Amino acid sequence: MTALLLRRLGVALPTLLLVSMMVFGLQKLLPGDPALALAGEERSPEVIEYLREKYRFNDPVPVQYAAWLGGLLQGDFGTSVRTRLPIGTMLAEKLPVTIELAFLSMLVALVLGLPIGIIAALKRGSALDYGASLFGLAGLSIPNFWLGIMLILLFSVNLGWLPAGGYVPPSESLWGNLKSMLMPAFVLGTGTAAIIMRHTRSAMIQAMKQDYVRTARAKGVKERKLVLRHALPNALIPVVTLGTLQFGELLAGAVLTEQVFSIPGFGKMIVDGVFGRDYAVVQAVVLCTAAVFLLMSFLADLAYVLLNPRLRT
Amino acid sequence: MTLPATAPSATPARASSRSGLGRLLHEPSAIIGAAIVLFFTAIAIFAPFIAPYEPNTPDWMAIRSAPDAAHWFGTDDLGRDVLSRVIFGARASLAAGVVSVAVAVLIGVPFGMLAGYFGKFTDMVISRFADALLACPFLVLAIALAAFLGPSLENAMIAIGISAMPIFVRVARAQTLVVCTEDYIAAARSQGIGHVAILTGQILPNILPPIVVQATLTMAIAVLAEASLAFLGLGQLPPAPSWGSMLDVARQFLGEAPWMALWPGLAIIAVVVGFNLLGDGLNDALNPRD
Repeated sequence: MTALLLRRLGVALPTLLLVSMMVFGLQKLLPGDPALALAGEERSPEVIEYLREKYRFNDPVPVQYAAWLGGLLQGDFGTSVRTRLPIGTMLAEKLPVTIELAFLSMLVALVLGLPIGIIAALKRGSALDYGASLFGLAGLSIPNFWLGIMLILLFSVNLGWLPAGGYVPPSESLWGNLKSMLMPAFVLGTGTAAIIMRHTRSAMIQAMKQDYVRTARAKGVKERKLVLRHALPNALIPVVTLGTLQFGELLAGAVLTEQVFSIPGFGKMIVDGVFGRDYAVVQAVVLCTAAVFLLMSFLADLAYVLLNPRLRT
Repeated sequence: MTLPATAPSATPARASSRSGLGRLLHEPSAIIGAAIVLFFTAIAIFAPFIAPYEPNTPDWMAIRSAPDAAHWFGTDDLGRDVLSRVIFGARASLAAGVVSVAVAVLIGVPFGMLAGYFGKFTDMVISRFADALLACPFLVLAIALAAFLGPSLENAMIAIGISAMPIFVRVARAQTLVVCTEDYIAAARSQGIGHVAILTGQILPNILPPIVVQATLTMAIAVLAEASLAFLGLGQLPPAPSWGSMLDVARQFLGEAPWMALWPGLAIIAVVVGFNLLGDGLNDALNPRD
């Protein structure tokens, strides 16, 4: 097991290094002189020369990359052109908001996806199964920003039950925090719920066909116990792995949800960075998202090994 | 040179595609999906003839008019006909779907085939790059690329295409690995046929079905991604109509003109459902064992 995990780690670290090279290479996509692009409206020769020196644009590209990577390894992501704050500080402030949103969305996804998937598998071919398929198709096809707009229209504009946007920190008011996160978490969670539902359904169908289920049924085990004690724990192994991977996807999906609901998280940070021509912020967010995504892939492997006794030896 | 090894491999491929087409016609989801996609394609092509109004011309006397006989879908904040803008918006969405997937396929498939065919160092380098691209979530990478390339529909399509490319590297590589174990590839190699001829004449025709399925499903993702980028202001630039940018404007007028948000969203859902149903149907028809 340790060897397997070390092997996975041996793949993840070079991948992260490659990601860092690609993220660094992004600024080479800027048309013309990158110092001019970074300077934005401030086109004085002094500023441009200062930026050239600061970002080492006069140095060869490998030297620029090595200096940039060296800074990252010491936690120095650079300074935001727009806010003049260290990007590391901004990340530390915004990331917890997005992680909270991702956790709540995963909760919504599990609460919706697991039961619907199990019922669809047990009632295969019935109207309930077709309803579940429809839910799966809708979850994958409805843009989450449109769903967000429709929910705002219903619950905020028409009914006035929930705030249309904004974020209340849990330290300020737990109830206010939940109210502000309810719609965003639902919007972000439904797509993942559809994916979890589809996988749970197919995993349960496979599990219910296994010999141990047939044997237990032949021994007279009640259907409810058969499902909950025998089939479900085995069916959940791939679903847990999938759920861990989906957590990384939720961080990415948060970009649009945070924009719709004006939540000051990671996603809004990249959008503000894009429009503020704050390219270092964009690079930092992409790199951090990829790092979280790789960490989640590693944890998914770990979960798979821990839950599957045959791989533990 | 006509190669004997080509015939046996090409014949089953053609036979399989014929039976695949037959199976496709018996897949209700594929037929519904194809009908939806064809419907929107026709709308996009014949937009100037179908749209009741010019999509970009403001009408200051009809600002935010509710749906009525003159404007079936109502008008927007500048008095423009929402139905006409939804009809013309189909062009940006479908173009983004087709072009970005073409970019992804044209780059991803050759690299995936090279990785699967040559293996060893070539495979390691290409696969690591694909892994690195896959480690960046699709939308975040597309946003970053679109931001650095500059906001426009063309750049959005390139950004989506590059972000979707590693999916095709993976699919093409996996399929090439399977095909390379077949006897006809060994026979072609033993006859001294060149690598390029084997890759294009023997392997490519046999790995196409899963790539077609993946391309169809990726079009659904690309349409959603284009709408997302346009919603963020990184896609089609105003005043040209795009469903995503129409939604961005609409959310500022939710209380006064909710119809502005309704129709572009329903159009996105319809096209994405169409591509998803078609992709699922193609998958069932072309890969019946799945």
